[in-house]
Amino acid sequence: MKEMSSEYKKFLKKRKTKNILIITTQIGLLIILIALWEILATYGVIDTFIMSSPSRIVKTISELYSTGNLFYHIGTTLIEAILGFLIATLGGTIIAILLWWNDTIRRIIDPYIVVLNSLPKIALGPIIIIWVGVGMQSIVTMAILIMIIITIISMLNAFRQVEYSKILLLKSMNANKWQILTKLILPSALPEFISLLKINVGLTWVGTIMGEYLVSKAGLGYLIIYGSQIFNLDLVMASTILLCILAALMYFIVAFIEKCFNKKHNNY
Amino acid sequence: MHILELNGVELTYFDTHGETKALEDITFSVDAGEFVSIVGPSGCGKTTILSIITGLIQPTHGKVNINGQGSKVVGYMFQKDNLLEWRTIKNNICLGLELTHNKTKENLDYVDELLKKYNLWDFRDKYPRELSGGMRQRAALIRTLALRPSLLLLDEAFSALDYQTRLNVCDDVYNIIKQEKLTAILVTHDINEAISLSDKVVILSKRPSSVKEILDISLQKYPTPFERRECVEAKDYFQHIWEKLV
Repeated sequence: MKEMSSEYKKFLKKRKTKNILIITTQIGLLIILIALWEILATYGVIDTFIMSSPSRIVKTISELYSTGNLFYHIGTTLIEAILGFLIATLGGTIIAILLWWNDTIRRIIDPYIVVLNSLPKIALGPIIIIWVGVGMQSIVTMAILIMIIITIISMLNAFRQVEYSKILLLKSMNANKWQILTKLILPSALPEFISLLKINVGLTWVGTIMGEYLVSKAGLGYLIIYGSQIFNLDLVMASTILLCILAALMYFIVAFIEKCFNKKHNNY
Repeated sequence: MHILELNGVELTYFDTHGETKALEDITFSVDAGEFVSIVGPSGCGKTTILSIITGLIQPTHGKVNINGQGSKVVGYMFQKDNLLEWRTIKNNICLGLELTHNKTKENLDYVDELLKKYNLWDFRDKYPRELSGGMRQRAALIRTLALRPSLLLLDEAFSALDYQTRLNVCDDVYNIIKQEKLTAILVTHDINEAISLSDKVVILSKRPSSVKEILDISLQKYPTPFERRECVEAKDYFQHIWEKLV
């Protein structure tokens, strides 16, 4: 380790102070908002029937927990979201590989993909329910539909962006198509794949909750819809907040994977 | 012995705009250990000739004969080094061995030997982005040499480098080629580069191109390409080639 100059130490310290300031303000803001919400609710400034309140949300969650329903609903939504995420990401990437492999098929499929991409997937909801059936399968299908087209498009794009001279280099060394794919195309597209994971981890929640709004007997989306129908805003708010926490957790896991990946790449 | 013979090579390619005759009649030969440059007006199909020699493109007419041995007879070096950023220098150099399933102990020892001989040993575990342009190009050359080609094709191999690096890399690559006793064909638009490196310069005409002249260069008394660039005779060669090109 090199000796640090005092100016550099100062610089590092300044940066650290700034970071601490930002994090404390972020947390502080959250606490203030929650406290304000609670206080306004307690003194009747806002109507808790419409706005609910932090304490009522906590109470609702603990009730869900004590009746043993909390993890059932969380689990249902989580499984749907993860299934949709994995199937769409892997399936879409595999389809993109096939389209890269065979240019004729790619050209045939191209207009279909463009049209499907611009179609709002929610419009397919009723058809999915009729075709796939009521239950988890149509929710996962909805999530897959939302992600798979964009996955195919962005991965195919990444594959096709690989420099032609690199392909030529491998060909000049007698590489076959499979070797070009595994030794060049896939590793080149890895950064795009990682950023795709980040996009999909957001989209899978959109798909899952949309699916649950359409057809479900369990899950956080179901609780939100059910709560709004019986005008139980405590339940709606509680489910929304649980959803927030879950989505954030899943996002951070993917962000962590990205960070590990970047760390490896910056060591180049 | 001729290591390479091109006999009446003709190439016509088709696209939606019609058919284009790129090569009319390309005939020349290269002897073992020779350094041959191909110069010609831009767009005359110099690179296409290299693609035909490698077998990436089939000629419409004519014959290409290559007499050589080794796992991969023809080695190709591009304008860009095309090193793969996610592989270390050593793994980049072993790429060809990997692709041809020739990663034997013997070949890997040969790679180590090349790395040591050409001063890349200390950089073998580094990634391409940690190397300078000149070193990257040297790594690209060793990647080609690892397959022990009998014939080396250099496609504007120095054009992407800045002028100063270019002169150095030119000397560098020339020495390696001579030390390894390789036969080389260089495609370039730089007449001075062609004169300073070659034993023979093939001058092509405009598209559809044919061989206009094969010019022997005798500057063997100057040991390095750099000195040949500077010498008096080079100016005459330059004048001669220049007149043929316009």
